[in-house]
Amino acid sequence: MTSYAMGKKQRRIARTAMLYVLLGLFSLSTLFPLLWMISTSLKSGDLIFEIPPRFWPDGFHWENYSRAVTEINFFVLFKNTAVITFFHLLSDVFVSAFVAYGFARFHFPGKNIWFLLVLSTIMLPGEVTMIPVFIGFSEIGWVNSILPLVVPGFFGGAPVFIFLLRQFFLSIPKELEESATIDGANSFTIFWRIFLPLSVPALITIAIFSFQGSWNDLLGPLIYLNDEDKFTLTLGLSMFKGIMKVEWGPLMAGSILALLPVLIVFFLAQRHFVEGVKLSGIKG
Amino acid sequence: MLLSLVLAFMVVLSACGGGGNNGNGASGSPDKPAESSQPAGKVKLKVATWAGADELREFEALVAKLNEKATDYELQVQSIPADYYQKLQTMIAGKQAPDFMWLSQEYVPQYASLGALAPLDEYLSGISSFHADDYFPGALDVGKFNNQTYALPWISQPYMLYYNQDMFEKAGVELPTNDWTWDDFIAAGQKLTKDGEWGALINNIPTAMYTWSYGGDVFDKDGNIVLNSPESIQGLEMYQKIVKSGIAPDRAQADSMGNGDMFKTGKVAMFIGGAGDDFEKTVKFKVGMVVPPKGTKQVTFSWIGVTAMSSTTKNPAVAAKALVDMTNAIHQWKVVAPTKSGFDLIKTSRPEKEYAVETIRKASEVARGFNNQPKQAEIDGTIWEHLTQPIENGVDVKKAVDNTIKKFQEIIK
Repeated sequence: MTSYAMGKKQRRIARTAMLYVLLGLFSLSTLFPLLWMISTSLKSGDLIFEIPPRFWPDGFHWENYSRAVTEINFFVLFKNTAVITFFHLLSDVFVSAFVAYGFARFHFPGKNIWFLLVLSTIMLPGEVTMIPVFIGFSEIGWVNSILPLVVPGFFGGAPVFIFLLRQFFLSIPKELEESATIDGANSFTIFWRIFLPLSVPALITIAIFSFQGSWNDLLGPLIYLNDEDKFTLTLGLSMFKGIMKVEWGPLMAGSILALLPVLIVFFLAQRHFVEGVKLSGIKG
Repeated sequence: MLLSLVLAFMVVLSACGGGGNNGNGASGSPDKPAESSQPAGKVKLKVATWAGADELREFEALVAKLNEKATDYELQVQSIPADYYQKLQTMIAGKQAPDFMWLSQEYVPQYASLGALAPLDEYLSGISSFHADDYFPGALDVGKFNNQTYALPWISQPYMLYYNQDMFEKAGVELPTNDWTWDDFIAAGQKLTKDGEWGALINNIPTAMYTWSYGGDVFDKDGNIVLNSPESIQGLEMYQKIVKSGIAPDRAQADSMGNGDMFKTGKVAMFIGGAGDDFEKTVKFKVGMVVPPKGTKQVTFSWIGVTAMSSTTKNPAVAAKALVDMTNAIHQWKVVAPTKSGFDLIKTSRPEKEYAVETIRKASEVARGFNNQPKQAEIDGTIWEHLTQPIENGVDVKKAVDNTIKKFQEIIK
């Protein structure tokens, strides 16, 4: 009897162990690029392209990190990136939600045409509009400031997010609004107190996309910012990628430092993400 | 609740407004005083550069020194760390062009023909620190378009024939010399090619260089197509002969290994690449270099970087002087300088290249760039698709040339 139980227990342990080994292998293969990046960030210049490749660095070249921080004015660029990302995120999430609410719940003449117009801007590649838009901003003297990067978002949000949120808002039952109206709420209160709280998971998703998008954006800051002390991290990091020579050590070290906030935000947001799912579960 | 949202919006708007004032102040100040206070103060001039990280710091230090000495101008470095030409073109289109811009040689005719660059000759003739005869002629030529100078070269890296001395000695083959012909190159290559090892890596060599070797070209200096001249055909046939001789790994294989890596790891014995490549420091074998092989003429390709002046610069006379000062200063910084006087720098700044200084000088004297055309990008694409690839695949050279010329005529008509 006991031996049978032991066997069962052992079998369970064996199965769990195998599962862990398998999961471990999978996560290792996913993590490998990151580990390689960390290893490269610690290697000396000539070792990076050694053949055969060597995973373990030849001693720890922490100077790659100090070079990444000093040669490109890392903390100033970090601050600039954070400011742009903050305003971008704010407009992407709240203004898009506001516009999407309008498209989801209000009836006005030409609504479908307006919505199609908004959608059609998604199809337009950015390269097509880049030069005319640049000329526009240059006429009003906004070039070499963060304004062209953050202000447009406050006049309409981002079309993709508007589309996503409109679909999400359409799925919210009308009854909730009706009962709120009976309680004396106006449209704005309904948006603020019912739609937004119910859409937390969607908003968080958009926030993550928006954060990632503007944290990693290269072209926007490249086109509009001229002074080095206004640059963002992506611009700073690409300085290590020269036409003749790529400084892999500092490039990887800087990339890791730039990646940290993204990782932290992702872990924080992940928790909220799960909470958001729970919250929306109540609504039905 | 409504109030709180309105408040939130007001905070956002005021924050933007604040940012706007800062932004406007900062963006306006570098340009506007230059226009209004020109007679009184120094002319402010922006230089666009692709230099990054420590190269950028070195360039900024160089510019700071020039600014200290200058009485009539003040240079300001504008770093464009990525997508250099995209940003440059956007700035030019938005009438925000920098006063000076670094360009790779093939962009000069395009930018000049679009009116983005200022012709320099009328100013250069009056500047005493500009010495046209100090430049190697091939380097100065790439800055010209329609017989006008539009840009001054600041670097010229002639292509050299690097060789792995250990492999030559092991195979008992005589070392390359500056007088080698392409036939010598093939003969030595064949002795060095055996299982897993090749005589040479030739992916780097621009196809046009073979035509130059026999006195031909793709376009002549006036922009006429000369690709079908007997000299050009002879050069291209030599190219096909080299490919057929089997001394080089095929292009796909060499490219997948990374350009030059096969030479670095001792898989090929000869490599044609820029004089500034850092083989001496990174390889474990003894490395040497000579001027690349010749046909009927000794000539080599050179990677040439130039600085051009924008046609929108406010005070072109002062700007041209600043351009000459800056270019002269870069010749004392960058290796390999496109000038005879800049040559001594190699010994001090790249001591590992000292053994080859005379060879590099010899190469610089015969080095040249392409006779670039306003639509050079399309032309390069056509050469690759209709000339280089077919020749490598064994298509009859004359047939490939005819096809290429047909495509050229569509492009330049």
